[in-house]
Amino acid sequence: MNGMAARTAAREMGRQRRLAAAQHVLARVVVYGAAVCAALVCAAPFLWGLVTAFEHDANDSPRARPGPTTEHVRLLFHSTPFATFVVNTLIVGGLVVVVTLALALPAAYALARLNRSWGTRAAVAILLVSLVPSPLLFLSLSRVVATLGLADSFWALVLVYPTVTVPVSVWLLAGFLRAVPVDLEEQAMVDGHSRLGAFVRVVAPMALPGMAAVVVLTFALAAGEFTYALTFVWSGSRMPVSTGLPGRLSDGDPMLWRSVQTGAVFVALPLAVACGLFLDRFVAVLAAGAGRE
Amino acid sequence: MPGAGRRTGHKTRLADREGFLAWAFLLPSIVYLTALVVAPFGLTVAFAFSRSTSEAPSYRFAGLRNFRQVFGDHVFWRSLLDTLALTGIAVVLVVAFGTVLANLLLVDFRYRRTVRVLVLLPWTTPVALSAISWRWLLGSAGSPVDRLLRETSLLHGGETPLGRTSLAAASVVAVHVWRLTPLAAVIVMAGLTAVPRGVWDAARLDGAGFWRRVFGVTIPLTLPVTAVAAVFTAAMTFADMAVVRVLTGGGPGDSTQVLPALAYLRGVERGDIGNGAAIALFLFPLFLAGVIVMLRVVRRMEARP
Repeated sequence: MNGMAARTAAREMGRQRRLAAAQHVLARVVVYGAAVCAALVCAAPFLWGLVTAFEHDANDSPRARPGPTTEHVRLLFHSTPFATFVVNTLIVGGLVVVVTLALALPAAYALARLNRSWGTRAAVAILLVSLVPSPLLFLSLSRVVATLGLADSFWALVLVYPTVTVPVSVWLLAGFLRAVPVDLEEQAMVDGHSRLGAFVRVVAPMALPGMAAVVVLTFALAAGEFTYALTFVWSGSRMPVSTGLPGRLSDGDPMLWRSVQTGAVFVALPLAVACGLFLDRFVAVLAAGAGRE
Repeated sequence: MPGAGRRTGHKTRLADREGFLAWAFLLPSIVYLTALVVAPFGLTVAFAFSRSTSEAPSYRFAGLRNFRQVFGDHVFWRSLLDTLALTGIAVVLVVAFGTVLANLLLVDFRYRRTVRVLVLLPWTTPVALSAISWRWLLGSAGSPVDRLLRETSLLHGGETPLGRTSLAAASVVAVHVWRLTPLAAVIVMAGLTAVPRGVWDAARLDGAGFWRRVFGVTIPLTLPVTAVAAVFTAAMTFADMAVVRVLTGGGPGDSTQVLPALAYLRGVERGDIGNGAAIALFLFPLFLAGVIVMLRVVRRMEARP
């Protein structure tokens, strides 16, 4: 009698364990299936681009050797100013990063630590600036740029891009600076540093990892901007890659299509890898902001 | 506060006065943003009431001439409707997909790092270059999409997906949803990690089922951050001209034209600055709507205990 009850109980427990195991397996299958789908959809155009970058054109002579070809990559570098576009983007991006940090880091510190009654209002105002659509500004900014003698020069982009990058950077940097323990700063001031000295020598170095994340994001934003680049720079040799490469499609011959799309893939991959390194940091600092009050 | 006594002795030093430092640190950013965002916006408003062209940029008041012209332009109405529809549809889809993606990215699994980099691609790639890749995938003969559409007989003969109005419009929406979903996912992820694990567990112990916990706990607590994701999605959709310019060129005909691209065509390519500025001003109500939502979110977060 007793043995039978025990056996039933054991069987029931085994059943439940198997059910739990099956549920676990099902959950994993769903997670992996969803992960593969998400990755494929997000990478779809670039995967196809990568595959076709090394493919022969359909109307190539039938005598063309089978297997992959590097002809389109060669054309990209020889028949289009792709390298020049990339160098322009690197220069503009680098200068924008410097200007952005110089403006945003002190502002972020003021918002994060120097408790003023108007601190929150200033922070909200700066955040709202990042919502201003560039089409509202590009016509008047092109007059400003022309007046300053910067028309058709990438200096125009260095001047204007921080309007896009500073608001975002101020917010993220303020988050990173808040994460630096206040005690360290007070200790530095006890040790004889001024408030300014404590910021420069103690707080800023502690926030270096956060600054690296902001640098990468700022660069990505500067590299991706389109409206201002299209309006302010029209000579091929001065264009950044975001307008230069699409420009090749409208005036280039259709044979270049494959090479141009190869160029897009070459820009996309390193940028995503660089930003991927800092994803956890962005999420952490945004989460701190979301749960702050 | 251990340093308080010591600091009062230094009060005269400028580098120690918080009020002064706060101003000195914020001022450069405020001056810069005022000069290159606030003032140019005022200038755009002024241009909308002017006769200025790129040949004769000096200011000549024109009253409502530009607005009368714009209202009589059927391409403008088409672009306005397209912009509104595109923004609305994109926001709904991006928030939905972004929430799913955020939950997925928070789960631990093998090759998570690789998946994360691939998922970031749409967000980090310059929009115009993504549009090139999409045009190559959608518009070239023999691509997987082209073959799929032919096999399901949605496409016949020499047509390409981007040459048919309905498919071209769907492509523009798809590319925007594709490129903004990862950003929304990152914002929602932040909101999810900020929800204390204990709240979720407590609800479970109280007997709330999975869906009850999703609708009773997670969604209310992440609503502010979801609203932020929606506002940024909207702002980046209605301000963008790269997707339409590179993917469809506004075509076929003017069927996929949007306001920013039209403002560029009229204001820069045709050189009619006044007309372009008048068109661009119709984005202002959309911006204002975003600002109102953001301010409500901020107030809610401040009111939170």
